[in-house]
Amino acid sequence: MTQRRPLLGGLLILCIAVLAASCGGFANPQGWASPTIDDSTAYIFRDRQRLSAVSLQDQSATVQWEFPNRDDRAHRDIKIEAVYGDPIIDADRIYFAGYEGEVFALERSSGRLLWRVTGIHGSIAGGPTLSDGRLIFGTTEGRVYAINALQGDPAPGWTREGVHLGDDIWAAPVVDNGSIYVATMRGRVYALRVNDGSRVWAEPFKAGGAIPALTLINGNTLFVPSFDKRVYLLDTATGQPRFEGGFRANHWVWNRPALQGNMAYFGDLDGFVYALDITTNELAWSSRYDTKSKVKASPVIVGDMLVVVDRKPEVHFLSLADGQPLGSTLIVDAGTVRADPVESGRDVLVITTKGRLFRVDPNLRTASEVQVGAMSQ
Amino acid sequence: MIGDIFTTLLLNPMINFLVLLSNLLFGSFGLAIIAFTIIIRLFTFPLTLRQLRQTKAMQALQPKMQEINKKYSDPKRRQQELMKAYREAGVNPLGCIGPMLLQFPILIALYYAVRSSLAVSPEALENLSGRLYDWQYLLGAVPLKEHFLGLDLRHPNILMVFLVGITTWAQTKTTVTVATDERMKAQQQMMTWMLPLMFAFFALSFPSGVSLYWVVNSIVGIAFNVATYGFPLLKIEPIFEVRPPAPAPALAEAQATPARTRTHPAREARTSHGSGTGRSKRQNRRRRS
Repeated sequence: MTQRRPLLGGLLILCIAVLAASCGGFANPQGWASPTIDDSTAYIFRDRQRLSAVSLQDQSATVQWEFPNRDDRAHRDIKIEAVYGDPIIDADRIYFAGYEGEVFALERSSGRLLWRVTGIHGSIAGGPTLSDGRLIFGTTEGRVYAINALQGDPAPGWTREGVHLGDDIWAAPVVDNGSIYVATMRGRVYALRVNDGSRVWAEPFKAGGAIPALTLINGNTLFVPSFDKRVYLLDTATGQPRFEGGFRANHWVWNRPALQGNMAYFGDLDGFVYALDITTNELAWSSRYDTKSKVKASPVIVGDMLVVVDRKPEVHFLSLADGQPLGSTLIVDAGTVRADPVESGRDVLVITTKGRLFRVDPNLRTASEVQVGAMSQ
Repeated sequence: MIGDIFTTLLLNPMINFLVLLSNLLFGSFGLAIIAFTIIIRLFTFPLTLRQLRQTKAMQALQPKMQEINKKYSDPKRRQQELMKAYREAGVNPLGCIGPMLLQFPILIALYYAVRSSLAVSPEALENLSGRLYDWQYLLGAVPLKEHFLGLDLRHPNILMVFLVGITTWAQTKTTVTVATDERMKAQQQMMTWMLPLMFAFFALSFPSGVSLYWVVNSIVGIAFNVATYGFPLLKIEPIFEVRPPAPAPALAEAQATPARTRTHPAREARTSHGSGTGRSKRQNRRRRS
């Protein structure tokens, strides 16, 4: 038996090691809201629970205000879980939605809370869309809400309970020409009337897998990526795919395309980047890096270059014409990148999951951190 | 390194199997968890049975162990005599731990598979994409339906907390325990209450999908225990007999105790190790050499 003791001891250690190694692999909501830029001010989530307005200089930034403000007693009961949709700027206001199911309207200059909507059924994973004074969003309990952006009450023709579609909604809705387009995680796309939420199409479009994102391209076409590894281009008028079977990618596509002319540029979770001609559904080129790291964040076009940030995170610079790699640079020890990068002048701003902001220079092929200073008094 | 092996060989296959089952069972993740737990428990049944056998053998040796405890006051000598008794009876006191340890990584993987498949956040779903095999039937099946019988499997549920506590308690009540002295008996008595309370406490923060797995796991465990040992309180006889390894001939007479009276005499001559003399495999090897 003494011979077996080392064996059993080894097994015990192995079990503990397995337990330790596998712990921490679960992702709680962290959010992936992109920065919203307005002149020299960026609205960013430096941590998953707080929106910061920062004034940008070259390689530094200063916090102007934060919401919720730790020093403000009125903000003490506000607990934002995470934010997935980008903040929306409209005149002197800024709007955003928390994953916990709350919508906030703030004064743009000060971060003062104007109104807050609670009691939403489900989580908001896609953020709101602003159209004609209405904030429209979907929830993971399959409801679509339209609220009055001025006061936060239900928009005319809508109730507090919203419209119940039944399937989880993770994508921010698209609003165009009096219609709301909503994609669901059961692979359906619905068209609803902005006025009252009634259906426009007789039948929803059905894909073979969940639809995590939705984008309007060229005014009358919806870009619909699905977990069946296909990208469908839908006619907004009829809800029918413009090309039967769509475009087949190598894995899930979970981002918005960058658009130029007839071309849509997007990545997949297998590390491929595609250039798709949306008028013919033909692939112009596809590119993959050696790392095969997932591409969750949407690409950005800067001049004749495509800037792609993968989950490693590594910033890749590709030729827009043929996808040839022109260079790359690593972002080190700053978490990963899921949020879409945004163009800021000649540069691209990237925010990591650790809330750190980087300025990417496509000409120099560099990424340097923007040091965010304390709140100005 | 260990984490990678664990992920590649255990966790990822389990996640894919779980998603496959969910797709086959009408898209119900709750049904998939139930079916999955039962299948895995049946798959690991040989290990469970071996563990139950060793426990039964230890129980049969209890009178002898108590006798040794009374007889020898010197701890070193007592230990030697206990070891000798184990050896002669062909029992490995750690034998019931081995199969349990082997099941441990499987149970951990099962727990993580349920949690990973549930994808409680958008990030978790994105992470899940890297674990699924490149098969459209699986890739197109997620996210899984998180509702089952009115439960949101992603979040804790008070009903599941109670069920976890009750089924864990029932499982400990139907498990045969081996206690050589009063102190150990008291400890085991305490564990009968402590374990259910502990797991119920954990369930307060578990997604109820994980609690569902635990409840089904406990129910299957109860079924195995009842089938193996019977349940005298409800006059349920064992369905299949679990024979403890037969003792060495020299001890056979000394061990004719009530605990062994249920063992079939005709089969008593055989050992679970395949030797007709009641010796362990190692003893037989030593004799041959």
